Amino acid sequence: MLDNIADGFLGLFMFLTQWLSPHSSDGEIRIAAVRELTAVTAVECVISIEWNDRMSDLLDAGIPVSFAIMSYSDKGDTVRSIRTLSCDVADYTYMISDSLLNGADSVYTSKKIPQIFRAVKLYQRFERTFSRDASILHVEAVLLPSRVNRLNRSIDLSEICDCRKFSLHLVRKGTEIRQ
Amino acid sequence: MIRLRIRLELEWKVLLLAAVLFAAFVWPVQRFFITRLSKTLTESIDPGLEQTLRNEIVDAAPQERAVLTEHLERYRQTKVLIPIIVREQQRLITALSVGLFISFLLIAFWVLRYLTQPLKNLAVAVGKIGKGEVAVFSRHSDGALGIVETAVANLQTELVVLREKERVLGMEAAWKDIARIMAHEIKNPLTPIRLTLDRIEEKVGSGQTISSDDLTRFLVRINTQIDMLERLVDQFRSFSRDPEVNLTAVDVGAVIRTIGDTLGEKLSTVITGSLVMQSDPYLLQQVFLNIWKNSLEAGATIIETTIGKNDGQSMITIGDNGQGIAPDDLERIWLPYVTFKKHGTGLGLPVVKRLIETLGGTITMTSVLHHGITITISFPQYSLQGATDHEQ
Repeated sequence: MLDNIADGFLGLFMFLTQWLSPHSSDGEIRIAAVRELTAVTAVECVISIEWNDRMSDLLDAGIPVSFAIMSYSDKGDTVRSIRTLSCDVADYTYMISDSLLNGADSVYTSKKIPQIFRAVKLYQRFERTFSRDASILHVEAVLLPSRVNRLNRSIDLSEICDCRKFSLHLVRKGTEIRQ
Repeated sequence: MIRLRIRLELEWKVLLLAAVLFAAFVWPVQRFFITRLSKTLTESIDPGLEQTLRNEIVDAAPQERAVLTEHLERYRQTKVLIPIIVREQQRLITALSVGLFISFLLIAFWVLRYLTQPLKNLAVAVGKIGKGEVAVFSRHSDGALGIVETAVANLQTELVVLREKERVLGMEAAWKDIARIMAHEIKNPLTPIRLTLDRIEEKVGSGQTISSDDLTRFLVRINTQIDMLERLVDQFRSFSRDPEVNLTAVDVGAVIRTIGDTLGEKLSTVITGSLVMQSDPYLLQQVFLNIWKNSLEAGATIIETTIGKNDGQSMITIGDNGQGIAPDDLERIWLPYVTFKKHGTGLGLPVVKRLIETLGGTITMTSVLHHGITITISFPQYSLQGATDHEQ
């Protein structure tokens, strides 16, 4: 009987641990378009994030949403970047910035976008290029904890959108690219 | 309906109760505090502050605008983070509650085990004492438990003394019983010897001549009873064993007739039927002698006996016209030392029953008070191993 009760307590403890721990389910990155250019293949990706009102509220409060995006292929082509969507609280405009982490840190910032849903739609889309002879292509996006600068703390947005990691795995067979 | 009956020890019951109480009270209390926290934080936000700050930003100078924007941002972040902060606190409280609960269970389990172990040891010790074994148990507890341990130890000591006393008393009682049984059984053959000697003395005293046949009959009667006395002595010598049974073809009517002749002057015997069966004549003689003496002491003047076979069984029915026994007392007459006569020993009928059962038979009695008793003795066809009944 003691063993059964010990197993019961262990099961309860594991359930509570799982229940209390942050969500870590995986999401996906969809392919919007594939373009074969002269030397590279450009893959336009869309992060399938479940955007909701709470995410909008957080963004409107000046809390940025950031993804660490990494892409690579069997021929190298490794690119790492931080893609951030932020809001200017004073005039309710939104801005997307990409920080490339390859060698010289380059930052690309978009124009101010006045509508949140348009900003989100643009934010979800990004493009990655791979060598044309690469047969395995991989794209991965991880939702980063967001800094709440005015309250000097950070929050984990993955609990709100139910996903932390998003990924896309592609295989090229001849001229065709499949997931 | 299926009834689940789970036997739980005391400590598990207490732990289960604690778990139920925890779930019943801690969870609602936690919900109450979380609701209060959420309400307090929400109420601490001024709903009109955002509009005020936005209005001021429009007309503010660039340097002031930056400061106001910062305030606006802080206001919005505080407002939007309230549900997240509440959820974090809820998780923290839940984690603390679970940790506290598990710690409590472990401590409670240990404490209960610590507290109940001496009680379990005592229970085992009491069980051993109850079985008459020597129980060794620790006596290091303080307080009430220590008092109980001391009491159990004293109880064990007293029980040992009492058992020894009981053993001695039992031996004394056994010796007394043996003495009473011996006296009773020796007295049975002495009575016909005394009556025979009285008759010889009466004849000699009155100047009558005792014929050779009469003298032979008297001597045979005395010799028979002396033989019985010798046999009794042998039986008492091996008292711990059942009576020795020597099977032979016995004419039941002749045995009864001998007893009837012995007591004939005071108690008439009428015999109907005949029966020869495999049995022990001496044991049968003891049986009938006890029954006849019992009837005589009950004031009977006549005994009617029917012997024969019925449904393959040897049947002996004996009826007298004595005082009889009340129906309520019939069940107790077979118990040793139960007597309803002024000078009875209470051993006659128990001895009869034991002898009949030794011979493989059964005995029952019916009675009508003041109208005598009827005793029915039956022996199966093979009442003893190797025994066979024969009817003339």
